[in-house]
Amino acid sequence: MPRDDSAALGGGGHGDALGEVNGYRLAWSGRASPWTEGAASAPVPAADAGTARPIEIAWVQPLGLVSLAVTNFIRRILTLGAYDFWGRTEVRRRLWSAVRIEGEPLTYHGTGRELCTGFLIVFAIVMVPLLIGSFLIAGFYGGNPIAIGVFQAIAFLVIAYLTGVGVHRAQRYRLSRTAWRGIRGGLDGNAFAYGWVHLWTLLCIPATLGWIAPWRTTRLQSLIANGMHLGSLPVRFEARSASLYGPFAVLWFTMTIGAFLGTALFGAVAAGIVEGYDPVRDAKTDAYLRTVVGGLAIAFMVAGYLLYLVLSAWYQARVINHFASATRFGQARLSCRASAIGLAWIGVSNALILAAGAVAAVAVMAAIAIPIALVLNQTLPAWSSVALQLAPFAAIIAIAALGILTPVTQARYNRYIVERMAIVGPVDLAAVAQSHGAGADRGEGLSQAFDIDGY
Amino acid sequence: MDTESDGRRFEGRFSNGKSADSARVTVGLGRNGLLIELPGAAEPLVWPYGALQTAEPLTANAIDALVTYTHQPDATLFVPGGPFARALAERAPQTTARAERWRHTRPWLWGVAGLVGVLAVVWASGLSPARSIAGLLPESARDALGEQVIGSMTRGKTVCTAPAGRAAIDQLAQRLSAATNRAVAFDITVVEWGLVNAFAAPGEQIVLTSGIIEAVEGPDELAGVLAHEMGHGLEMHPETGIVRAIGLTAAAELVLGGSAGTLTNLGLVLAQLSYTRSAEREADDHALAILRGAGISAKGLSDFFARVAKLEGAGSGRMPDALRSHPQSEERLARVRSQPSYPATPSLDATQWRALRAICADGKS
Repeated sequence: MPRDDSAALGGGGHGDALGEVNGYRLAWSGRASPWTEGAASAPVPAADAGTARPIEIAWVQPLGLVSLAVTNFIRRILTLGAYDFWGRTEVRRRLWSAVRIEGEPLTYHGTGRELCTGFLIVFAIVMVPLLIGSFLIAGFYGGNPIAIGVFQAIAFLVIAYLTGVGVHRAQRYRLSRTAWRGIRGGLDGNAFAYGWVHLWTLLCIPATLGWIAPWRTTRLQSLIANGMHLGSLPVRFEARSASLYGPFAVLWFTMTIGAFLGTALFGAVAAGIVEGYDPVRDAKTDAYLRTVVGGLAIAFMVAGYLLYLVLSAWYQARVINHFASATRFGQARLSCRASAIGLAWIGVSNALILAAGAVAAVAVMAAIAIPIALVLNQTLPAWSSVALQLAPFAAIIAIAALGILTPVTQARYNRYIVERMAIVGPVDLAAVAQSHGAGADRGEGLSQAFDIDGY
Repeated sequence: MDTESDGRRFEGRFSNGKSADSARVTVGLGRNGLLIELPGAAEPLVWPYGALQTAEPLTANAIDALVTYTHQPDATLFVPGGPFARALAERAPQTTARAERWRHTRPWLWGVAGLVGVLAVVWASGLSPARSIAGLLPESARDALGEQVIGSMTRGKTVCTAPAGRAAIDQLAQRLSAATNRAVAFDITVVEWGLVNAFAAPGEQIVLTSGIIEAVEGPDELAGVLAHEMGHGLEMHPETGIVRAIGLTAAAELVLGGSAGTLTNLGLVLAQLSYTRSAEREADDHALAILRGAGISAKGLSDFFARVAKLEGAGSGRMPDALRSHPQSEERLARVRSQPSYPATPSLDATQWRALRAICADGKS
């Protein structure tokens, strides 16, 4: 729904949140505490203190995301990527702040330094041993395909397990750095247990032809969600994977039957073309025939991919909505109305935005670099060999350019979900107390090292 | 405490950080701090400007401000509307985007200055960490690396083993090896490969292409090329190059966020190595000493350089690839030519040389 960002605080459909505040009686019961120092008398407890009430959730579009994305990109290049941790942190601050609960923003307290330290630790204890291991194996058993295969299998298992551990720890870190009204979030539970489930269910995917996927998704989400809390308010997650198997079956059978029928249809059409082809009569070459059949094959694959895109978006929407309704806290639960068309559109348009950003970034850099290189090439003969050595860096920059607009695409996805999200049922905010558990110090390194970090 | 306000008042919400509830408050702009009028409190709470932070840096476009106070860490004050954010930015400049930008940039400037300093010291003192690590590798590891390199370089190609040619190259290798300063034995592998090149591989191994055997004019030129590659081997340039490549891979993974890549095609790494000018000079120095020790004329090496220099001058595309990355052939040629002469015998006799030229012609394995 269209919205004027400068005025909207509570969300377009909910009226001005501050106006609502005027009609709402204060439920905050002040006690004598250090911060009331100087006050002559303690605040009088409101009559309805502790009353549970419905909670509003809304999205306020953050401004200047594109310029932030460009700035971060330039800084990443200038620092050979090291700025990434700080850039990411800045993006999170904006995206968190865009989520308004009762008109007040979520806040993100993480720092770039924490992300950087976490990554360096993981790099030292996981990546460097893997790298040295692969080097030693290549050196000592280079000619032995079995030894290389065994090493790669072990490396795969270790990485798959640590990926799961990393997902849990990253969630823990992010939640512990998230606060609303000063109340910090958190995640309990065992990251290693999560990593184990993540690993063995991953290995089961091929064995079950994918049919473990709904159960796996539910189980993993349950391990995370049941450990989540905002202050003293725990989250409960009661989803059953049974209700996901219907949509999954539709997805699975449509794609399997579709692949079978598509291949058969393609074979029939292609055979028809080839049989009806007469080189003398049609005055066309074999190359022309190959082009026609090849084009047809690509058309079938594109059609299959589009079908998969829409169907998987539909399944994904069912999963999100089901998980939301199964997420409870206090007397309330979440509700989400994500739709297949909406998610598919967000997915496709985000891919186009990323591509457009990458093309624009590379074009701008080429427009700057090529004239400079040409001039230098004229004046300094030795420059051409330097330019050749710089070519790999150009490739790295081009790869980095692919992600240049991720802050924009993340905001679009988050906006889509948050605007379709609601909290159903009352929450007694006065009963939600600050949690004093120690948060994760630097838990995000693992997920970042394996590039599974959503934000 | 000074509670004088400038008269403007803003509506906001205050949470004490103990529970998730919040109270509607009126906020005034005092001379030294925000004046927060809590419900039921006789006097406003004062938050000094200097100890305030905002959840997001304040810009001219800010639509609201979420304020926290250093000495009351979990408490939050949320005031919607741009006017309050702008008024706060004037009074608490540390909350502005400009101040934050500078706060974030300063450590980077220090970091860059430090890095430049360290690199300058490393460069000035001629330290090479890769070379030190290469020197620490045990012999067995270097041999294994060499096997791996040779294996990946000769994959899909024919290794030439005609017995007479093999005998000739082995004899030449022994004669040159015996003259090295450490008297280490070099192994030579000849591959059928049109590329005009010779590679030094780890563990005292050298790969010669059939292309270079055809390109040289006479056995003394080939001896010069071999002695030069042995010089690289003695200085552990291939080992150093591989260690550096691994280090760069690790660095690239750091930069790219890591993708757990493995470095398995060492042959490719070595083929892409280009040695520095000082490394080439070291190899040349060894080559001259080896040739002298073996009693083989350095004229072969200088003839080879002369031809390379001519090809470079002509800008010919047929320049031997082995020396394409070798700069300043003229300068190197002058150094080789300036050596005093010594008694020398041909590196191979005519029969041996014919056999060596035919090493790939028959007896292929």
